[in-house]
Amino acid sequence: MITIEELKRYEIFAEMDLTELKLLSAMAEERKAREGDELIRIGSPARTLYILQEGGLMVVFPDGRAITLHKPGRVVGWSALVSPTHYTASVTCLTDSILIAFPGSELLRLVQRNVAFGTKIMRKISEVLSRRLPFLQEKDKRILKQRS
Amino acid sequence: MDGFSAISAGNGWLISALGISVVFFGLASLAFIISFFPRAISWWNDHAQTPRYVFPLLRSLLVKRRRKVPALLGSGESHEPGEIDDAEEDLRLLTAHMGEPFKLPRLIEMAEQRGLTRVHSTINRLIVRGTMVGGDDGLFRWTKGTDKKSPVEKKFEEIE
Amino acid sequence: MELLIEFLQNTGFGMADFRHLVMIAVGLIFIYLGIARHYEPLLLVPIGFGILVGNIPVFKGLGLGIYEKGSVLNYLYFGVRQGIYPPLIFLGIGAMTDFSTLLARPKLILLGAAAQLGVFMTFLGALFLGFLPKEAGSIGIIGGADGPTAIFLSAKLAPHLVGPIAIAAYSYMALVPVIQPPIMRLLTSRQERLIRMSDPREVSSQEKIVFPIVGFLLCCFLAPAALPLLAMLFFGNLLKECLVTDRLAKTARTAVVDTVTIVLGLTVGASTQADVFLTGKSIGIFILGACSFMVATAGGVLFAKVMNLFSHDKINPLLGAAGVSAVPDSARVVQMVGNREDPSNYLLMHAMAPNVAGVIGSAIAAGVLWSFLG
Repeated sequence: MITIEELKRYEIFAEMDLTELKLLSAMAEERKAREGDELIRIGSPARTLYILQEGGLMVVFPDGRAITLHKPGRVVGWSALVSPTHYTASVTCLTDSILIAFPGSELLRLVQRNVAFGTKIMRKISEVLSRRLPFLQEKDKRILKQRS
Repeated sequence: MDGFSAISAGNGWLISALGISVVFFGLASLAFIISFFPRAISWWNDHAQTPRYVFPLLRSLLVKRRRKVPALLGSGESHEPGEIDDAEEDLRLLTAHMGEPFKLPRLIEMAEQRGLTRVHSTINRLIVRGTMVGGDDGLFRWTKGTDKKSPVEKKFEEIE
Repeated sequence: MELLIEFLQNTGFGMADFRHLVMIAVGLIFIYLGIARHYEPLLLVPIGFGILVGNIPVFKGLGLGIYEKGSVLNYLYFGVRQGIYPPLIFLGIGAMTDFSTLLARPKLILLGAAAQLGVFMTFLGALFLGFLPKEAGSIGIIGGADGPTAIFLSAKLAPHLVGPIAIAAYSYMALVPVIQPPIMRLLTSRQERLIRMSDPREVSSQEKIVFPIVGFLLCCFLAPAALPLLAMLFFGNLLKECLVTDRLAKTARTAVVDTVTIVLGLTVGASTQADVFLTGKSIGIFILGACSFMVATAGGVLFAKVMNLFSHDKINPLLGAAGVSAVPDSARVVQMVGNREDPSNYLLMHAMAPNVAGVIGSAIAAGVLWSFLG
């Protein structure tokens, strides 16, 4: 389990209140991955959303373009919250990394049950998405635009 | 008709023996050919460059690999500054032929095929220290000014 | 009153006999197994409903039955009769399949070949029981554990047996978790089941692109009659792996394969009309089909043991059972049986190699049988 204090450090959870953080901390798990590990495979069912705690990640889009993430608090695996819940990019660890993993189904349930929480988290997710939108395929863009 | 006479009359023994042999031969030869894929593809990658560069590059890679791979990046967590510089040189050689800007996953794949170790963390260090940068277009470039003369040019000078 | 009686006699209730009821019960069992037990639901539900459709007693001559020219069902059945649907399904399978485990450890391909022993042993068995050679070839391919291949070959060699063969093939594919484990345990020792496989090497994207081209050329030069199946399988895989045709690959593995599965399942189910299906031959086909699966499983497991005699890098012989194609069920069975001995032994990934090799192997076997018997 990840403590509330740890979660509070990340920008994505900055606006969350104590109850929401408690719920998030209960479902969060620490995950360690080695350099070169494929954390997320494109096209596979999106079951987990990750937040980078330590290390470096490379997000690879279908056409081979990529971005790298190094700052703690960066989010990968947002597809776990967006239908049709299939990852739209691959993520590989550039270094040994520590991540916080959230099971997509539980997070989604929380979003659906709690509108205020849902709005906050989806706003954060859409910020991430807007940065990555240029790399996504037309079909995925369409789905996301419909959702937003 | 039934029984063994039916099998003989329908050429059953022959068809079965030939059939299973064809299946075995087909899949065994497929397995045999597949086992050469890594070497064949690595050979192709080495020869698919601009002809002008082929021999000098091959020679340089061979010399380099023998000299450097064991020392390139050890198994420890951190890299010695000199080791990163050596790895950078290798990577610059590869990107010189890929063209700039380049796709980072492709660079990693090519570097691994050439036997470079710990390519991911090397690239991570190069990005973190600003030697290599990712653009908004998802493609990567070397930072201008970090090296006035490209390592490929230097390499050719050394060889010549 | 007479009109009313005549009307009642012309309804399904009036025309049904016990055979229709038997087949309707079979259809309901298929639907139950698919929905409640999750046994191959994507296949068993359409086939099960198709069996219900095919066994509503109708007047012959009204152009309603699947075997009557001009009926809607007959038009849809054309794709089965002419072997059009199976290659389209293979296109989808190719676009879904990841051959990287096979590329990483090529020797496991041989297990996919060994499991085809079931095909040829059953072919001999069917000849022994008095089936005609073409019928025996179609029955033998049930051991390939590949529904589309079985339908394709029987449509070419013995069209009158497509129904029972397809039903037998899909039933046994759904029952893989029941049929295989006892044979696997019988033929292996605990020590063998505990063997751990080393991690496979990483496979580059270039290898994955070259494989469907080389695989296609090699297999089809060797067994040209397998062309319709293997061409589509490898073509689908090339679409998937080359990345630049991602849209086509996605369509092949979703829209195309789903559409064809619906039509194929429904029409194959509907082709099991009681008067055509409930014959002594069908019973023989079912018995031989079961034997075929067992021999195929045993062939794969025993061959893995033989390979271990000559190799330092030992193979867990359970992997041999995955050579029976039935993707991915037989690979899952390998994982399940292996896990029972050692919960931390993950065999699934390794089992996918003989599993997908089995698909190629059964298509080659079908091609060979077609060229000999066609």
